[in-house]
Amino acid sequence: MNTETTHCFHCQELLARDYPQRYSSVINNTSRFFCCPACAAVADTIYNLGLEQYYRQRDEKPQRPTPITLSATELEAQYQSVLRAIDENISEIQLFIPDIHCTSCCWLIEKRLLQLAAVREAHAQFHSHKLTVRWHKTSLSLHDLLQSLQNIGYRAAPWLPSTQQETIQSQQKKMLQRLGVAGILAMQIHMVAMGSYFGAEANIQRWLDVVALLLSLPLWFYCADIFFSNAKRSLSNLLNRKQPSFALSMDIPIALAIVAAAIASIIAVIKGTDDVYFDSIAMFVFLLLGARFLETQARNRLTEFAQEPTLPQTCVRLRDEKPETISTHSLQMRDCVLINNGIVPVDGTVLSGSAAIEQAIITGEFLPVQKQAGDTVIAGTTLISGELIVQAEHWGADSHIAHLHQRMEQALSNKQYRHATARLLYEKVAQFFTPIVLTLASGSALFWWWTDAARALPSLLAVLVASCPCALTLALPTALTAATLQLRRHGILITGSHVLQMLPSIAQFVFDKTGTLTQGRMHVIHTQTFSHFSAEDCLALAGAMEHYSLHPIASAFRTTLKTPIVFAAQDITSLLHCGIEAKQHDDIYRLGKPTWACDNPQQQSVIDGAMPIYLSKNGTALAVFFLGDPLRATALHSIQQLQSSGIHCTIASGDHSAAVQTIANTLSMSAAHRNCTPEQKVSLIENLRQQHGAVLMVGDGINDGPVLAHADISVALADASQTAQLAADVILLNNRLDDLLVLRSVALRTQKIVQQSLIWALLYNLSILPLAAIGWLAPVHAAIGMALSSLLVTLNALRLFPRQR
Amino acid sequence: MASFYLIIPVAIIFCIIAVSAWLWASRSGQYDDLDREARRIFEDDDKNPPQI
Repeated sequence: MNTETTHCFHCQELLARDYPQRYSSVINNTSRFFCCPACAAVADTIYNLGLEQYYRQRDEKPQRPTPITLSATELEAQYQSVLRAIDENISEIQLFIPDIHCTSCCWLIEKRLLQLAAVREAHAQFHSHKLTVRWHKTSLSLHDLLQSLQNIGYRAAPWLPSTQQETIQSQQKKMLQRLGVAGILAMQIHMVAMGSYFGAEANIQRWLDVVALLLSLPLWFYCADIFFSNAKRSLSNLLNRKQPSFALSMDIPIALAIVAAAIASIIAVIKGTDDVYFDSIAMFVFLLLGARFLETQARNRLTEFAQEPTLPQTCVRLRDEKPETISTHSLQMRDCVLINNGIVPVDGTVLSGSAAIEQAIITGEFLPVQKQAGDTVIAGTTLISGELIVQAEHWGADSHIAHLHQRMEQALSNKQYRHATARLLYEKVAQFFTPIVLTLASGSALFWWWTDAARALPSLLAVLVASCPCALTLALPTALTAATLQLRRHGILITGSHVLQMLPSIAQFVFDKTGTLTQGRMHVIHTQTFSHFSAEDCLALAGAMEHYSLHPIASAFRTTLKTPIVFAAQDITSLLHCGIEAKQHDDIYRLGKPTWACDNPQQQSVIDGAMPIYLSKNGTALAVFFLGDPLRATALHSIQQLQSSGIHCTIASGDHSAAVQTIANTLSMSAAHRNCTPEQKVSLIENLRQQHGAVLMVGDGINDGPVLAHADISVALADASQTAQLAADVILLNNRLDDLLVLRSVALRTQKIVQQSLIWALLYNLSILPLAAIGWLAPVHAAIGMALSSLLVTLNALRLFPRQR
Repeated sequence: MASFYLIIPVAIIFCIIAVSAWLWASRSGQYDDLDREARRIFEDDDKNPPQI
């Protein structure tokens, strides 16, 4: 059998052979299988357009496509805010494409759109998931444009980023532009300044000085305006009568030094003397901008954009016993909805029917739960088998899952706000440092003014430049950047800027159970046989029986590949609540609950936290399999290491079974909380924080979203749900729990290096200040000293990289 | 030394060209998405894309 039969060719979804909606389609002369007509249509479109390269290049699987349900006029209204006319014919639209998973997606989207004759420009950004399209609106309607995206499997939404994110992005860009311009100008100014170092003739020297002045003007007024505007803001805060703020910014001495040196140099050019500082200012501004750029880069790493959980856009409504497929938008309260497959579209109460529903999205547990009349179902959960008629109560933006997502977003933005307002270390230092510098500078200038007026200005400049906190401001960002890169090589992705600074002080780790400490998948942990069949034969038989099933239990048996027996799909029936039955040569094999599978089930020793599944032939038990969700290979070692370094580890699980306690015992964790709703997990974290300070949370499910957003540092594994990854500050790409140890040790080393650099920078600045004040230091030497001190700090940060092998 | 009066204005012109090239590149968004550009080399373009 072709391997492709088990996965949808497009979305890679696992297919069962008795899956009701299985489609095959001939694509590029090869027969391929799909989970739904939408996927088949997408793959067909991609091949017909000659874009099949996408399937070779992609490294993430795409979402299952959903059709557009809005009418053309509804669309126009919805997208009004992101549409704008460039000229009479051309319009531009900015779209948010949630399904961009890798750079191949960007390629596919751009290619597809540019093939349309009406499309002029298309640019897809990988990180922000933003798509900008310019096209002839008269020859191609918005609906058709979105439809052509839909045809290759991408949903679109209006581009509505948060204003905070927009500001960060534009600031970053502004800073980079200034840095580049300052670099080019500084090189030119230095080249011109070489003239005076090599003793040019007097008239040439005048000409060179004028050129240096001309080149310096854009540097002062354009590149250095950041320092001037900051200094102005700080001064106006100081002079604010209602609420004077005495927190003097470090930018005041910087701005003062630039202004003083600039004025002195202009006077020198007019008078024709040699005391010009153009090159010193240029170097000073360039180095400071570089430090500032690195610092903002490290601080404002762009967070991924929030994405609503995907709920089905359509549902089957029963009206007068007749089913009709409608958009969920046009549902009305208490409508009856028929659910017989896939993702549940509404929150509601079951009126009739019975079904197995997998609620991992809410509880994190993958074993399905039985639902009958009177029970409630939640939108976003998955129906595994059975059929339900549900009275719709909430859907769309009002559903439980959408509220969960909103709460998480809110917690996330609060968290970002908390960290943005947390004062940077150097700002704290600046508070007492700046007044000292200003007093010292003016004191020494005044002293020299009385004694030797010619030395007043150089000493003023030397003090201001020498006190420049360049190395101080660089200490943190360089170390953080080096550590982040180093961790990324290890497969640890850091998205929260506070992680490395905060981690060393955290003494409490909270873990989710399923999928985090455990593998999140059922495994056969023990087999016991009752007949002459060997354990391997029994496993193989069970594997053959479960071959077509989508039930989470089936995955436990799928690993056994060599099946001696092959059942035809029609000989297998799965029975709700019981198990699976297969027929061959008048023999009936059953796999499932003890009481159903065997006529007289034998008493068995019970394994803690494991589920017994019996295999029987014509009612006689052949074997019993104990299924469990085993720990990840690295869990025990990691937890022991963490505990031995004094970290308190806790489990918070949505699971209600005794397995939680078993795992806590195995890992010798003192505290385990089971049966936790997402809200309870959040309040657990709050309690822990009040008792013992900051908390780190490791989780994986959508249900962990809110708690991850609340924790001081949140960690998700790479195979976690997208919601969890979105809320996480750290993603462990290799799915290894022992990477937590690496993360912690790198954070500790980073902290040490930052401390060393800070101590060095402070000592340097404090010791050089008196030298500058008594006039032993020329401004240019102060600038060189500053550069060397910054270099030392940067080199110190590079020690975070291990030596190349 | 008189050649300085010619060479330096030429250098300034080059400097202006470099600065404007940099600003143009940055404003047209070439530094906005560095992950995408790093992989663009692997995307081979077909010579005659079919017109739809």
